[in-house]
Amino acid sequence: MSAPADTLTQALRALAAHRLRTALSVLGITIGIAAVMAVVTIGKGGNYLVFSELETFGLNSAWVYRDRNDTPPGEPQREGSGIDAADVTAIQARAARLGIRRLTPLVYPDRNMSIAQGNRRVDADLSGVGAAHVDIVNDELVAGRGFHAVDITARHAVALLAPDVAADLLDPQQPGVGQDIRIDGRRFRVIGLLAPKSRDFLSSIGSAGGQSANDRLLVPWTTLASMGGEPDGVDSLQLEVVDFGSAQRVTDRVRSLLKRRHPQGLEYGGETMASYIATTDRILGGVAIIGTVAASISLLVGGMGIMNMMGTAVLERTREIGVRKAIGATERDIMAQFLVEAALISVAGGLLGLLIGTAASVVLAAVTGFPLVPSPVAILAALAVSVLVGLLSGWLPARRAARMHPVEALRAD
Amino acid sequence: MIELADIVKGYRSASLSLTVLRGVSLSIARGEFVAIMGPSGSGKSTLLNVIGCLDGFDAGGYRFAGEDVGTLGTDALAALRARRLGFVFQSFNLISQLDALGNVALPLVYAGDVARADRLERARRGLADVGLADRLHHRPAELSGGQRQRVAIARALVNDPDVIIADEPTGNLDSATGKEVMAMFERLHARGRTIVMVTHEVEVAAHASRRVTLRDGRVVEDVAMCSAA
Repeated sequence: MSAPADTLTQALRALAAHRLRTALSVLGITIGIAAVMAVVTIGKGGNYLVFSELETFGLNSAWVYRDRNDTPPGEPQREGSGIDAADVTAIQARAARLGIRRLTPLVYPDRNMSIAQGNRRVDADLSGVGAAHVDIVNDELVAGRGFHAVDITARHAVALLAPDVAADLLDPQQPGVGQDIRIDGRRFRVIGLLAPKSRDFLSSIGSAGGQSANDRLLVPWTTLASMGGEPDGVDSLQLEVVDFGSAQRVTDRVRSLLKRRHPQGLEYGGETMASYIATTDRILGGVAIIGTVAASISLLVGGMGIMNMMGTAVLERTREIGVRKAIGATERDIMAQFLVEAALISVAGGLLGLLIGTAASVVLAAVTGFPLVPSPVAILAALAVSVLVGLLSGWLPARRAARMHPVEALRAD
Repeated sequence: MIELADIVKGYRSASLSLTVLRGVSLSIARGEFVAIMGPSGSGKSTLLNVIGCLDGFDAGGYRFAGEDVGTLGTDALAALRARRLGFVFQSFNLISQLDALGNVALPLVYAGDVARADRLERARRGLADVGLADRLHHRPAELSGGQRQRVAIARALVNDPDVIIADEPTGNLDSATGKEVMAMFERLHARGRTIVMVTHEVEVAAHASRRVTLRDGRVVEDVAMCSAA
């Protein structure tokens, strides 16, 4: 039996004798490993990005609203938003027991309301919210203040503007805070400006409902409700639960509480951020599986390239195999020689693939704003896979070489 | 050294069955230089392959230095070739990617348990012995036919084998280089090496101490000769 170092030297020499062929086989594995790396990077980066964007809605958020399909067929539609100021107060009073940290009513305009300053008009998402809203959705103020309790109770005509609205609507010569705007003809004072938020990625896959986070305009919910037909009506409640895992349970409790308080037979629906996250995870997981399968196929093709090359090498070197056997090489010596050649090609391809994959990830991160999440596990796995691919694809040709009959091998041209 | 008893060996394929050796008994003592002769198809190459433990046989018995070759597995046969046999082929059969030194050292790689520095030193001495001290790092393609066969002889000798197996060692050489190579064999014989050589040339066989002639897979003549040298 020959020593490992000698086997390695021989393998390197044999590979060096066929540089182009070796390079092409290496390239096959390089592409495969680079593809795997890219998929892993995109998967991890995408996941990170989605989570950081979901955070802008509040990860512990849950929503409760009236389910308008609660009227039995044939009966007249039951009126009302189903949630009123008394409900809000009642839930607020039981908040700790229900597992709610804080909550905000949400009110949406019941008709198209114009938003203007002088002759400037914007088209923005107008909502009425409570004082806790800013904290629940992780909004930050770049100027002014948020809503105080008195703004809500006294139905003050004050507004918070997200950056796009502020830029399109306000007089750029003056400080934004303190300017007046008109909503549906009524005068509102700007009391605060919100910091920009990124939801580009979510918007691009549709999970954000097409709503841009920077196109929002917030007013006290009581004020907005009073401008519509139902001065105390709340369209939905946004809850921030104490414990992420209990979001569904808390939502169910609030729903049954609301049902008890409205015995005329109203039904309530609920959604949690936790369930959105689960959905997003499923989508990303699906994308990752497709990507991994595609990358694995290119790795498989790379492996077949090695098998092809080693098969050719064994045929070409039949006589050499015969000579080596005649002068004392065992089957294991011959097997090791060809396996090491295959593994070397594969490992070289793996290392090169890692390099290219990493470079591609860096470029990708720079272009798309994906965060670069380095993964030592992925790197080790890629190397392990490339060694494995080399050994597997080298196995059959190497075994054929090892089992050649020395006399027949020596007779080859 | 070599005891062949009634060796039978044939080749079978789908279309034909051919018995090449039909009961060959042959005994070669240590230090003999045996030339195996015979017309093509007589089975002389097959016999040499059996003696060199490159090929098996169907019936009969073979003892090499007391060992029953018929019972040995492939690894044991490889070890036998690595340590106790040296091969010289008609077409040299050097490995083209290795230089002369690497080719000569290769049997020691497979024999194992010889350190690299030691291997190279022994190979260097072997090449010096065949007059190629100045060709250590030439590859086979950069050497003449005679030089290649001398590298091959150095390779066959490097593991200090009990027996040298030579298959038409002068077949690919012009007569002058052929004579040189045979002179080298005679010197080895004179120093006590056992050599078994196949040839179809009478002048080449004349260098041996004993001539065994095969015909149709049987030994038809076995004569001792006074060395012509």
